[in-house]
Amino acid sequence: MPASKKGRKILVFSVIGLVVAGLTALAIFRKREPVITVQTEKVARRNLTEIVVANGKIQPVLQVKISPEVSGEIIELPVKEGDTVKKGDLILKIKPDFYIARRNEAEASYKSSLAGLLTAEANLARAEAEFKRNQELYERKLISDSLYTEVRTSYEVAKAQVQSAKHQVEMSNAFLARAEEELAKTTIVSPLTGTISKLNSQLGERVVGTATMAGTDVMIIADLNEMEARVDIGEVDIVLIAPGQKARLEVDAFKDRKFTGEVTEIANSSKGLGFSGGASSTEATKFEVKIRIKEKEPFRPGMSVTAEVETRSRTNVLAVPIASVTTRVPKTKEEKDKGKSGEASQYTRKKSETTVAAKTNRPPESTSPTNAVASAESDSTTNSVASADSGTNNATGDKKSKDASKPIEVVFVLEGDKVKMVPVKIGISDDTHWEITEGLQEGQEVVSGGYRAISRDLEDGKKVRKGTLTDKEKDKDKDPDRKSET
Amino acid sequence: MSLGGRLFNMLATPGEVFEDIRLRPPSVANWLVPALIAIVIGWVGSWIVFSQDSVQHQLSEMSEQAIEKQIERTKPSQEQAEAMRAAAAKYGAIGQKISAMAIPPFTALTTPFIWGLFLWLISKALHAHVDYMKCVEVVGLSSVIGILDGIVRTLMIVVMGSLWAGPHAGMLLPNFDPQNTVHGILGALSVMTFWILGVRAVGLARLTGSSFTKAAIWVFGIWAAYTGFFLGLGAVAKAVFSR
Repeated sequence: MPASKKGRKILVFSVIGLVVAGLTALAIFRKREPVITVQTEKVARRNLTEIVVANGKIQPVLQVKISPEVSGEIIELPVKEGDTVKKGDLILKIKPDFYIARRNEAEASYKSSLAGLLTAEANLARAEAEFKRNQELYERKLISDSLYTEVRTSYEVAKAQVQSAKHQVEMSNAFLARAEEELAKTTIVSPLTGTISKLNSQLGERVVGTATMAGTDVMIIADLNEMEARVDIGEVDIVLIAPGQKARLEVDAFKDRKFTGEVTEIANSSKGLGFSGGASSTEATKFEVKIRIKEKEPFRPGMSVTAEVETRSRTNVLAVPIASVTTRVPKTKEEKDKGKSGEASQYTRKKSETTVAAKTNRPPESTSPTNAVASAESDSTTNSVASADSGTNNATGDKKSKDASKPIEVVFVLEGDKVKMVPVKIGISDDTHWEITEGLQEGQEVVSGGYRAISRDLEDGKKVRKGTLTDKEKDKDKDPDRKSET
Repeated sequence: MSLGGRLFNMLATPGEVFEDIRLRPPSVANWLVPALIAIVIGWVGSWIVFSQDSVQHQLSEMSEQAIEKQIERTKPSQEQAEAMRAAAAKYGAIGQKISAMAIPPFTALTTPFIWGLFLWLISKALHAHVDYMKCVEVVGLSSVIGILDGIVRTLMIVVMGSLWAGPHAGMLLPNFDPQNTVHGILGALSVMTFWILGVRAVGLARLTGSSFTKAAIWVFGIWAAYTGFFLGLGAVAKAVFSR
């Protein structure tokens, strides 16, 4: 074999051998741990406005149900749904025949009682004259005692009959007044200026009415110039609501517009809390809140509305993305000692239930299932789902270990190519960011994604590398005001 | 030259080996033995690679990204989204195992015949009379370099902890993204691939009696064409599905 060929073979095999040997040595002796891809964001100062989101319906502020006080057939109904009426306009007429007859009857009775009174007064005059004449005779002892007593009694009876006739007149007069009033009630006029928002009865229908109870709801008149949103807010968030708070409203029928409002009334009792003892335990507890709408638009009663009530705000506070905050369970002293040979972290993950966070994104213990309008990012705030490490799970037992196993909020701060787990105290949150009251400084870089890394994989001291954003995160960066969907 | 000699000499003096097989009758061992070795190396390599924590983490990240994109597109309920994530995790693992078992034998046994056909067609274009099975032997023997590529790639994946590690131009990038078309092109520019293609060109030149340059132009041209086709197909598919 020529020397050049032999030399070439030696060279080639040597190079290949060196490369393979070198790579093999590196593969065996170099400790490799998984490098987790993350996205980061700097801790910055922001203005945050905490928002409670609720759904409800638009209703008029002033709305009157019209129901008659007398029963009968509707003979006149000059309005229809949607008509505008002024105060005093005729809106309904009930057949008055029955009430006219009653009125006539009462009038006749009254006149009869008047005649009875005259008769009684005439009898009284006669009896009085008879009494006086006999009294003189009695004084001169010209008539017997019994005759005198008889005459006197007749006189007294006549007087009483006059009284009775007077009372009869009063009673007849009262019946007449009532009959006239009932007759007047067959004509109903509008008690306010407004719009017929609902018409339940038609011409010719019979309606029921009583003076003491609500009768048939014939129609509803509402002042559509003043509208309010009546929304339902869960029990956890209701404590944050106060009259006077501003709200942004989105009406389904006016998708491209936002309206403003102000909280005017907050219910004292929850919805469904009736005399029977309260709402079913399976139903969420909600309280009705009324929000006066400032804009005058052609709203119709019953339109769906979503309200965002600004509850609290902070100016120029340290904030991190909602996705950055997660929870971990600090290890107890025993677990730290046991795990010293392994993990450097003093925290562990505890298997806990994933809950959909309320808009206010409270920690898991206080999240409400009622007011659940949460962003996808906010899921990770309270989501501490992880596979539990059986060696580090908290032992049941004394109160101390139970306290120590309570999850705490943490963020992961980037330090070089590793992360450090830092416990933080959180304040309020808005759609995208949490306020940090303790634990971080401005300018620090915190891990803000991915979801799995923050909620499960990351631990204190883990190696990370910055990766590219997903499309969702890119969109969020472009439009930070865009709400994420539940 | 013995079979072992032929296999080792492919790394240093391939011309000598191809000259030898040109003069000998066709031998199945020339393509079957390298294919079998490639299958074994492929299985061992897959086992090593998928046992790495960093690779498992990378695969689950990719799967999670894909499923999150799907969830974002279809907007299912919370329970449905969790079910989708669980299904992705479960079937992803099964898919990995199946592909790790199936891909090495499929590739090792089909490549000699497909590329053999290409070389045979090129020999026709070069007006040479070459037996098809000779072309298969040339491709089969050149897969020794593919075996070396497999070993080097496996070791680089273990050392660097990335599924995309290998002796290609993509290693120059700080964050290699296989879904990026440009990154994909750089990933296709592998030292080992060029070596294999060069060796096949040598084999073709020896079998047809033409110059190495002519043979190399044909071989590299065909590779560029089908690589470009598949990269383009991937880019189109990505554009279609992302809409």
